[in-house]
Amino acid sequence: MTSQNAAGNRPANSTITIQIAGLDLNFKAVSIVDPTPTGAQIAAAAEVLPDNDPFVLRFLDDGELVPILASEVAPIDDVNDRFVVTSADRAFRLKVDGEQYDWPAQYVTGKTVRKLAGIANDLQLMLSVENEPDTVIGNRDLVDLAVAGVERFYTVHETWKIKVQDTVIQSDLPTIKVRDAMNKAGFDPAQPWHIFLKVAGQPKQEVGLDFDVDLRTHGIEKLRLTPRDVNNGEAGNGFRLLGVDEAFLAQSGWRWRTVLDQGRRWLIIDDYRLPPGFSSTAVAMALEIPNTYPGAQIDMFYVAPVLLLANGNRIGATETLITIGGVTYQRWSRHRGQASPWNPKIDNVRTHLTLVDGALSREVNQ
Amino acid sequence: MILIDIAAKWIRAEYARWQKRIRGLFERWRPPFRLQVVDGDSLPPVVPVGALVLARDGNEDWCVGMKCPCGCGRTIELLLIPEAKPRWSLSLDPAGLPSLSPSVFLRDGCRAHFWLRGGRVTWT
Ligand SMILES: [Zn+2]
Repeated sequence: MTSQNAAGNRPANSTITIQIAGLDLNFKAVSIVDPTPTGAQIAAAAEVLPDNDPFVLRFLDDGELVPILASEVAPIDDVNDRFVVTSADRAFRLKVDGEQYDWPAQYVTGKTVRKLAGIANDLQLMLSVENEPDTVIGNRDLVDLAVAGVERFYTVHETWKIKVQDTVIQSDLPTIKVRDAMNKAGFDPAQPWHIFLKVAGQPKQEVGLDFDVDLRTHGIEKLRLTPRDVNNGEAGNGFRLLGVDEAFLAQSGWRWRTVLDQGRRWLIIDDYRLPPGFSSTAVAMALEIPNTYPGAQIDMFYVAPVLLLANGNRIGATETLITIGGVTYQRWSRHRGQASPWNPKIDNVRTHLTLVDGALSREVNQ
Repeated sequence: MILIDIAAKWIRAEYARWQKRIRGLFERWRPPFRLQVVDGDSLPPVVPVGALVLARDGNEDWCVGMKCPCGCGRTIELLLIPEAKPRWSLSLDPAGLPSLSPSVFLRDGCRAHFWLRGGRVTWT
């Protein structure tokens, strides 16, 4: 479309709006009271004075910059027509992926090259410099176009990185399976591992070999590997207690373990000291942990070996014997009183053991 | 034949008993494991003999590592983070000596099974 046609569509003396930017390519709408402005009028609208050698370029959609002379009438089709106005009088040539662009300044930033050539966000801008290794050009990097042989830019797919333990691996794709990342880093996925994905500002996540790690995730850090070659004493047979219980047991100094036996869950403390007056000085103390604990209460307690009083007398309500893991335990049928019912919010292994201790003391203090 | 079976059983039991006793004696002579803290979420490439190395990432304790107390040379890594299963709890006594809970049981190799309490190893 020619300038005459464009102008012909508008009444004379009307105002037109175009987009004008400086070398930052930040376009702003500017109004001109002339439907057929010349290069000089556009320069004036951009507030570049005639003394400063205004240089007006039409910025086409494909990134091409077409110079408009001061006396030349600019072809204007649309309110979105874009012009770059600067005070240089000389264009510098640069190439991006073989396409040629003219840039009206000696310096250009990576961001501007990206805008000029319309480079997609997932591509990385590179600059090839003769006799030097090619460099990555970041958005804010400044390139001097006057230096000979620096005008060749090209784009590559961004490489995606993640640490596997202490090894950094690269991926051409933005996602990678845990298994492939481990293989690349030299870890054998056939071995058993604990694998945790660490992302800054997010809770760590245990992942499996077929988990797809999205390397575009902000703050992605590493896959943290630990050989899965150690058990606690239960050889995989145990279960987890509440955090407060584990912390309490850890600081107690007892040897303890959790045991699953025919669908029942047991906490066993192997060296539970008794007050004097029993036939043994210490027992294995077993507490049954219901599946719905702590909603459901811990009730009674179980000891091995079977206890009598030191004088040989039997103890009341301890007649029932059960086996846990092949060992015979004596059930002490002791229950919470009506005055102190189980409270899931405050009761746990520790509070139950205070009741256990009370029940034991009562037998020998009578 | 029955007698031989009984004798073999007895010899095995006695052997295990003595092995345990000798190990117990040895543990009295071994200096206690002492805590060493390293920065980051991972153990250093070499874990010194006699050290319980704690990898602390910021204010988060990730794992501890130690040389297997049986002398097999293997490095044992135990996760402390709450998300792990199994996981261990580390505590220090007033003298700064470390305890681990629950016990440590190696699935393969030497199949060592022990508790670490107050820096000292108790074999089970
Ligand atoms: Zn070992």
